[in-house]
Amino acid sequence: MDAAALARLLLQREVEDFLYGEAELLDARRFDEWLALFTEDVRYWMPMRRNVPHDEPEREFTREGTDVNWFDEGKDTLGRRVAQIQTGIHWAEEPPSRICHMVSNVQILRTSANGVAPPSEVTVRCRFLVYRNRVETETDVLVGKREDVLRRVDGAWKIARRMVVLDQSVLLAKNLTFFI
Amino acid sequence: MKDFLRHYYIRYSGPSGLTEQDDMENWNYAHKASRGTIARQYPYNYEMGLGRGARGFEDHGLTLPGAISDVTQANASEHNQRGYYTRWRQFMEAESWAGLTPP
Repeated sequence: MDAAALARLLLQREVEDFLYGEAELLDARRFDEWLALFTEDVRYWMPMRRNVPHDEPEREFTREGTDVNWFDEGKDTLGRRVAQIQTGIHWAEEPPSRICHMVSNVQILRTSANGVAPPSEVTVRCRFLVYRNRVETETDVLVGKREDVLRRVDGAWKIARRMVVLDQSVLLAKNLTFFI
Repeated sequence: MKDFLRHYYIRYSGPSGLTEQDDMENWNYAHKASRGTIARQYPYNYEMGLGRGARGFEDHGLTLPGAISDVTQANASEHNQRGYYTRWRQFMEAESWAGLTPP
């Protein structure tokens, strides 16, 4: 196997390990460590989706920075969401939900690689399945795609941008008090 | 200004809003409880804050029409619910659409 192919394979594995590790932090409710995975300038965006005719796909997603989205925020607001869960009086997450993040179909779309040096930034797409159950019968299954920009900061990967595309129009969950 | 409000509503309201996230479960459960045998036998009490509504309320030089609940004076009020059911009753008792909405 040539060196370039081996480098691609190692990068793929490294990125997958990072994403699985992130899912583990969320499911284990280690939110402070999870928050530390994001760069200070992160953009966390989750558009809403409309039912549109097949030849008007450009109207399907609400626009970042312009429309009302499920999420369209930076690290400050993400941090406040974490802090709210940790207050113990956030009644949509007290008692806490049981959550399982499944991540698959990890594809590296682009890298900043230039020559032999490892890339400092990669764009990666994956599929997610998030199962959530709380109190007695409240159960949600959210499925969709994610596109992340990972940036290497001081030798460790950080999430610099996240787009979450949920495969639902009307949100079928009662709230979004958990992270995808 | 619009962008400020856009961020405000995303952060405050709805399923992803920090303030209203527990409402869906609570209100769903409240409705479910209302279907019970005992709950159906008694009228609900909506007297909270009754008689403490203010008329001609002024804020920053703006006079608000009608009666409102001055939340700076009373901590909580069911003023909204009374208004909602008052209006509902007007609709239910109306003989026609005429008069239900302002001309």
